[in-house]
Amino acid sequence: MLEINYYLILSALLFSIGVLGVLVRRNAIIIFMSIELMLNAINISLVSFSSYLGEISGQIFVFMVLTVAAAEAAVGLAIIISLYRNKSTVNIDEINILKW
Amino acid sequence: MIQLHELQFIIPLITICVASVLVLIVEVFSRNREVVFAVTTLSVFVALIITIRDISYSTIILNNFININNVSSGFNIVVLLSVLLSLLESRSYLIKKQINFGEYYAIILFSLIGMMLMVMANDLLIVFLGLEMMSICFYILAGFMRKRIKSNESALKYFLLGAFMTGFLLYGITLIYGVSGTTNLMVLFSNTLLHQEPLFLIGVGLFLIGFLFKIGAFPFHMWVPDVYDGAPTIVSGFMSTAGKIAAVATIFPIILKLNILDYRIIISVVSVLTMMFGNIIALAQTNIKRLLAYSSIASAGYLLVGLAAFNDMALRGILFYTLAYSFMQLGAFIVVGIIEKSSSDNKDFSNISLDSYKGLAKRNPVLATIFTLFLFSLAGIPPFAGFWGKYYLFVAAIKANLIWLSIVAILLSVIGIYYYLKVIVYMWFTDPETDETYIMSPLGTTAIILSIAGTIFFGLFPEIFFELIRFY
Amino acid sequence: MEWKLELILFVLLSVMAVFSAIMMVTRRSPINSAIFLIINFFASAGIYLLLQAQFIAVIQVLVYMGAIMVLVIFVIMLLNLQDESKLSEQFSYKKLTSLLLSVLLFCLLGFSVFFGFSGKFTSISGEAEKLGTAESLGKELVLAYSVPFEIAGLLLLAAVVGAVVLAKKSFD
Repeated sequence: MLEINYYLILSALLFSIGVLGVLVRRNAIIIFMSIELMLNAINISLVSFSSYLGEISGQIFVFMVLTVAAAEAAVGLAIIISLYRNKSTVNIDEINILKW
Repeated sequence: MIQLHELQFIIPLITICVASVLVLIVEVFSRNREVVFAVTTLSVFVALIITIRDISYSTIILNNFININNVSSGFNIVVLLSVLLSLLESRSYLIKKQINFGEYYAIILFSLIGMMLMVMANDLLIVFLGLEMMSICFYILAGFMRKRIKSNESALKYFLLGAFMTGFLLYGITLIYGVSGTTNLMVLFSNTLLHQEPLFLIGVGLFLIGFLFKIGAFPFHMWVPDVYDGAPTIVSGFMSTAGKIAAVATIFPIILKLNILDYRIIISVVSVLTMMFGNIIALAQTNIKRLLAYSSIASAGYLLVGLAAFNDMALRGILFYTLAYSFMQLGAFIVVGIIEKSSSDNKDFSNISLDSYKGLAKRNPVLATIFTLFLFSLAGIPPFAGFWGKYYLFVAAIKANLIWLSIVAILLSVIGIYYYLKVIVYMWFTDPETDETYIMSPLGTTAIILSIAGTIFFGLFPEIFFELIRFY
Repeated sequence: MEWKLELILFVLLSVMAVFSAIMMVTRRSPINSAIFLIINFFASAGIYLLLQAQFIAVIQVLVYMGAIMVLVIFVIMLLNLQDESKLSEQFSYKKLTSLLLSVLLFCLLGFSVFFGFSGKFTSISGEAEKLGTAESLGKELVLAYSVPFEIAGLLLLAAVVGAVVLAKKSFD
């Protein structure tokens, strides 16, 4: 059997790639997708802990993370659409107050 | 199994849940915004009264998910109070800005459900769900002026950064779960062996980072001025009080009961940097909403002083400071909203520069006096409530052997007085540039009177609040 | 034998997941990114199966790939977004710092989880197979976890109301 470390390393790697995407990309939708990637990486950790511990609450947690991801997707995309209607761009460099 | 009688402990929460769905139904079938507004305000008021009545309940219910005690009820009272105050002023502001939709009230109630759950949570799962419920509603509220680019931009910024930081918070929860095999807070508190594990410490650290973002602490503060500037003014007031209070009220008991001294120095440093940043950048602001945003960052710094001290005195300080803060910060935002909405041109956020406060005392002495009192309280000048909040927090830091921290905090809050005075000088000692008259709705006036009464009353009799929530 | 099979599957799936994640982050066109993200989610579903969480794997395919990503792709098509300029063309120190930061983050997280958990969990718990079924998860959700379940329902309601308010074209 594989040790849990391999799954955790995979999860950390995917999480970091997601963070990289958020920091580097300028397109709001791609940033949003990178955040989804981060959440997915966390789910891998949660499921592996749950399986190795033989304890179900980790998988319930994954459920709730999925629900939250769906809710965030609905709201986030609605925000992006309403911005696009007024400004015709989703590039965060062209957005005035987004000077981070 | 959940017993039916357990529900009597969460009547306030159930009231809000029922009201939120009722509001949606009324909005669909009658579109009568008066009814919607009345239902919302009444439900929050009823929930507030019931929470005060049931303050002595102390129990863990609903499959160990909800923990009710006088501290969580006390924080709930403060949160409900700030929601009630901002609701009272909301209506006339929304009508003026032509966004008086029934959904606004439903979303306020949904975010309130999230906050109350978070404060009463006894499981990391509930903390996470409550936090997300609150945050998602805040993203929506920030973008509520759909036709204004600034509002859209602030919603997008808040959403992207908020969702990003949620990732870190979740990673922290995952590590905590992996080390301990549970997400139940009571078990995590009691298992002191766990508190030595490095991975557990990293997990709690990441969890803390997620909350520092929501509180608006350095270095996760950069969203605060932009979001508060872009969002509708009344929503900024709501987010900066209720949202911040709920986040502090959730994280503080966790830090207090985990009692891990390693965090003390980190939180102290974060707290100093937050106060420094908030107070110093605020000096250069010429936009009143941004100025209040930086002042709210500074306030987050004062709250963090209590978080760094994590002793019983700090709990007292945080309870009192959040109460005072909800009165004075929300009161200040309500005044800003009144001045903003009486601008003759209804353009993108007119009347929020400091110039529109020139000679306010000559045009409307009452409003100027009220605003001055709120600013005095925010600056921490006795005998207003804000002074006692800071006093308790700084004493807590001294009791925790963090004397250097309380000295730095006092020095920085003295710097803070300067930019509040700048606004006051603008109001009282310059000549007016416009001759706008300010319309005060009866409900908005009620909200202002309540806030000013709270600021002065709890400034004169600070102990009464602790007697109210049976916290000695 | 079984061990080897698991290792081979794990390596295959994780290479697929990491490759598609990197591709997702670096593609210029949002639609390509979305497709690579779907591949990544598919690989993750495979990982869940390896971990014997069958129901989560199914949900991953149905909800993440079937609902959320379809929504994302729909919005990309609706907005008809232009490609971003090539990432390598607009090299900047900000990007280099971001790259260094994420590598640092990976080193920190990877180091701590790899050594922190090494030797603690060597094999999947015997009960895992029973835990991951729809039956056991469903039972837990409506019995022990009914409170979070209800809250999740309210959360979705709030999100739907909010999305409608923000994206609706005009109000009466």
